[in-house]
Amino acid sequence: MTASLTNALLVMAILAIGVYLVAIINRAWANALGHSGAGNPFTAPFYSAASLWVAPANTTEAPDAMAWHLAPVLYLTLAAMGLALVPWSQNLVPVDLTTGIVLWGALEPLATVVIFLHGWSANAHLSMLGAYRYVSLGLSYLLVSMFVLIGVALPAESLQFSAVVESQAGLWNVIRQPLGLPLFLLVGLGISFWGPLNFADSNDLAGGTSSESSGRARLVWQAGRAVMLVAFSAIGATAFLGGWLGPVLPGFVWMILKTMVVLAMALLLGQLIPRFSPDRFLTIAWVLLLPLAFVDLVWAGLEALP
Amino acid sequence: MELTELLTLLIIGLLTFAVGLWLSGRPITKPQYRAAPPWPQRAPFLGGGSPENHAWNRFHARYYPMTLLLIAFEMEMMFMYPWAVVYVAEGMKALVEMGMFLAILSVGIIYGWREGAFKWQ
Amino acid sequence: MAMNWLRQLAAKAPVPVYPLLAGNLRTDIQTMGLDPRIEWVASPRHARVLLVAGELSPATDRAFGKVHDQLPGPAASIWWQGQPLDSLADGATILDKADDLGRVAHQLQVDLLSGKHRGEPALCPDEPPEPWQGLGDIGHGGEGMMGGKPYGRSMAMPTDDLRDGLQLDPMAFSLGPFCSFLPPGLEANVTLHGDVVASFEVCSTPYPSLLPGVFEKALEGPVSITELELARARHYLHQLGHALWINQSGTVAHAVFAKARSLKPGESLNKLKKQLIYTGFYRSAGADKGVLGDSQALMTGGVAARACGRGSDARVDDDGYRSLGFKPLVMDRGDAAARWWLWLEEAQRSLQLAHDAGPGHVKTSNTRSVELLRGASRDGQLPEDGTAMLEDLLPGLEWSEAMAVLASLDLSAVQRAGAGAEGTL
Repeated sequence: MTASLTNALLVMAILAIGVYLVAIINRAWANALGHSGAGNPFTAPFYSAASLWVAPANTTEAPDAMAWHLAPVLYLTLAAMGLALVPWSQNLVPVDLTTGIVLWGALEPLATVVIFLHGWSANAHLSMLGAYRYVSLGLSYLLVSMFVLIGVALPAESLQFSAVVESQAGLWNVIRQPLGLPLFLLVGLGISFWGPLNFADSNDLAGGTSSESSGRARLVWQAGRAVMLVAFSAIGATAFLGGWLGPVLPGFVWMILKTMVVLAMALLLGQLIPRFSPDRFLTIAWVLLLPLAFVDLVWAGLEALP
Repeated sequence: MELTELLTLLIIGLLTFAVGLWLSGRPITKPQYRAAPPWPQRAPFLGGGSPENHAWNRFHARYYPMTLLLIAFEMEMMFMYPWAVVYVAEGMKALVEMGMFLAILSVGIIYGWREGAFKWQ
Repeated sequence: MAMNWLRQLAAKAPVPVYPLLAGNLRTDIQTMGLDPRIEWVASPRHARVLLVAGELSPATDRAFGKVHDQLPGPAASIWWQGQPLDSLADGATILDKADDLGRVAHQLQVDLLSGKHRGEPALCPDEPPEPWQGLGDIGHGGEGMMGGKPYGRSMAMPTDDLRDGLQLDPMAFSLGPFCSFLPPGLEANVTLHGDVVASFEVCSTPYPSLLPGVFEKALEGPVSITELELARARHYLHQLGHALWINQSGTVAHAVFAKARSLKPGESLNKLKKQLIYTGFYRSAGADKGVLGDSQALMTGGVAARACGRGSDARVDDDGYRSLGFKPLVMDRGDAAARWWLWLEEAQRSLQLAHDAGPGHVKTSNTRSVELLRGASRDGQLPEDGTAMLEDLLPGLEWSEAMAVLASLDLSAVQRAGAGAEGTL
């Protein structure tokens, strides 16, 4: 029980630091790309968060009030549960489920549901367009993500994330299964609807699913997106970059470094690449990415055979 | 052991949920009865325009055929989780089995593609 | 007045401002957004301050009231290049110089957060849009299956879908004139089937774009080609930046606006060009859509026509440009990506021309036909508004494609500064 509580508090701490980290890296990239208004990466996130905190709440004419209030909270909760699965070092795994990959696979479609709910429940036109459009994306990246993750489970002979890390003691999956990480990066941008896959909260819909929300509700929504991206990066580092494995430095330091690399990569892609049209992405996802995920799985399978 | 892990997961879920609720502030749950923002503020944002009807309608989800295909694959995932665990032990046989399964489903994708299921129809 | 520590922190954040354009001032707004003390937001729900840029016309008073009231209060307005409405004139914040926006907005934010400024009164009456509660048998607001107003607004009636003939509900609303993703001033009645545009009816045309001073002079007499071409390059970069912003590359757009602010003759845009190619901007949403027909291309003129393979460019009839070896840039794809591509190419070539012309040495010679930012003047005739073509161009496009196509077209009428509504037409 005490161990459970300690682990839970640890995840909460990682969650808070993760949100801050996303804000820092995102602003650092913006500065590097020539954005003059991003401010000091270290202090500006606090100012912006405080600004959202004190901004008044909004409601619409006839929202599904309960759903609208709960959607950001649920999204944050899903992200935190994903984050809980990450093994930070050999002895430090907050939730070391033998079916970790299955649970992650369950979180992804639930996230799609919650994102849809957020846009739908406001009962406003632009936000609902964002919600429906997002579902098309959610449906297309889901399978890619699962095939890629099954691929890493094959050599581990287990669905447990810590076993996946141990199976990479000889060679990391990023080299053994070279298609895995690039495909998985796309999934990360999709699940947190970041950059090129921001179909939900986009500028052409005046903010999409969050076009009607303001203040603290929006703060939770943004925080949820950030945590989701951190959780995804950490899972990516676990599945493909050998998790805590590495020479000299202690395991958790390696894990943090690797997570930050994946995170920084996702955030850079998010800022550089413009948004696709949903129509085109759908075709790409099913006709190109899904067969690539098959290839990745067969590749992983052949490679895993003794 | 597994139960302890699940308990931890539950605690994390509940804790985040509670923190999230606190963070998102007091809800305006029943706008009709509580001091809610004035009506003009609550109108849907359309840049000065106004809606002809409320937003909830029978929306044309143009990716609908794809959702059916997704279900086929999701069922396949059920089979795939246990398969992944025993794969190395079973060896080539398992690979061929799954290869056959994927090949059949791929025919579905190709057929769907030919029929334009991945288009915004 | 005292503020708690949270509000003090919040006051240091960039002021979230919703830009409400009551004139064709997008370029100025984009430059003003480079100030790190403010940040433009896409929805008034995210804003604390409303910037009213330009002179409001009585025709848009109602729409203005709606957007104004949609800022979660307490919120306040800043007026720039226009007079405040009478009902808000008391204690209104008026901005004289664009450069001052950061300081003024920040001061306003501090006042709002500390409670010194109590926010502006609402302009619309505080009553439900369609009072429905209590009407009908179970309070659903009407009679029969489809007669009610269960969610405060009428229900949609099913119609045939434009692609597959399914009977589903269309989503119908009017948009604008103050949408951040539409050309400023454009008002349209939109019907959507799913997220595909079924009809797009233009109710009022966008605000005419006023000629920059140097183009105005070019219509009167010879001007320095360097000056003219720098203004042109700047304009095209701003157009491109807006398209980038629409397609979710806000950071890149910001960098483009920053570059456009300090353009130097002969500067190379190659890095930007490569970046846009490699990051897939020319394959992003809407890139292959919005192909103009012949008459549409002629009507739009300028870059849009040249992107359709029509080589009309008034600069070939100008001795000054001919001495620099000018040849028009032409593409033949005619879609949105072709126009984006040409904007950047034209900007690059303008910078080259500005360099070749040297500071004030080569001047324009033809005043009867001047290549403007959109189309050309012919004997004093300036390009007219072309938004009517959107009614043919946008239906059938998915929403993000439609908005990207809109961001690839400049269709507003061109006017001389100081010309009245009748203009010189």
